[in-house]
Amino acid sequence: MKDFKGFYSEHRENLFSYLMRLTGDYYLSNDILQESFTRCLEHYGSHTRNVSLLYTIARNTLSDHFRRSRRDYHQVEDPEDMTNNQEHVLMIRQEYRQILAGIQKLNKDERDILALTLTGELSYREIASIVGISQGNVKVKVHRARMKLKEILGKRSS
Amino acid sequence: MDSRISLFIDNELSIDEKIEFVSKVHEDNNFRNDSLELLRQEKRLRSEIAERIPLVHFKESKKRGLSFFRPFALMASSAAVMALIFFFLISPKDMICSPHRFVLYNPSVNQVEISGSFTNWEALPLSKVGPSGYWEIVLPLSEGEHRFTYILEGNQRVTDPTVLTKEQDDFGGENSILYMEI
Repeated sequence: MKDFKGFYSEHRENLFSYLMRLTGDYYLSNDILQESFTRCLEHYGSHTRNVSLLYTIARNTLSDHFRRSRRDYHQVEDPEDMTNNQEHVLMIRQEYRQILAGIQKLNKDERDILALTLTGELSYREIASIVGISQGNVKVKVHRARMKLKEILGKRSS
Repeated sequence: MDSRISLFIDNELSIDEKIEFVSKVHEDNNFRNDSLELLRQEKRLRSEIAERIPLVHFKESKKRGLSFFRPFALMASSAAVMALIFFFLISPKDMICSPHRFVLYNPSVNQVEISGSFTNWEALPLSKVGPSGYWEIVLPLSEGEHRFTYILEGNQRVTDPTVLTKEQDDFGGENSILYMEI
């Protein structure tokens, strides 16, 4: 358990940030974070140090959730409309709300690949293996997603 | 725009490609500006998202699963509180709770939580006492032994320096042991 505690401490923050960028939902990200580490520990034991595996489990857990709730990835509200849930507003940093809303404008694949890249924990090769596409394809999609986001955030700030 | 900028940001370039990249930055002003813009965007994208990163509670995980039914859980916990109040009125002495004030002095952190046997090991936030550097929370405790720890910045566990009795927990950390007399 001590080994897993170290693995957990090292990756908790990045995994949570990944889930937030993917869903834009603080409480859903919290639930998936909880479930992902629990599944990882239960199925692969306390000695596991496999980061790709952890992210694969998190993606599958999120897919399971969306399949059950019969909806697609949650779309975060515009920063201007986010006052509906005061608690949610308090949890997400003021300066990040606009970025989060911008990320949600990307399509599902772009958001997924960019969010995995932004963790800073995975190489293109590992991302290719998690997503199930070629490394060359990851290279193209990551850059395309960054450029598209630049355009979206540029429009928002102008 | 050149995808080499993303490869540079994500540290996917070989040494030869890095030499080419730096040369291009020096030779081509547009390329340099594009690189700087994407690097600045990356800094914003990788900044901290949330005020507070949630903690995972492994000990309860097998029983819990995904809490998608939070409203129902809230209703159930409200009912449990009502039941406790009812018990409080009719129960013997060992069910009586008394408020206990937990205080920790640490002016250098932005978040302090407490997790213990009386919170079912859920982390509850302490409130900052003005600019004094003190953090506090008042919780009802029943008579008997209670184990707890403070959590700084969501990940650093510290025992209560005012409570001398401590014991090792399952994670290799330490808990303070408090004995309440009512």
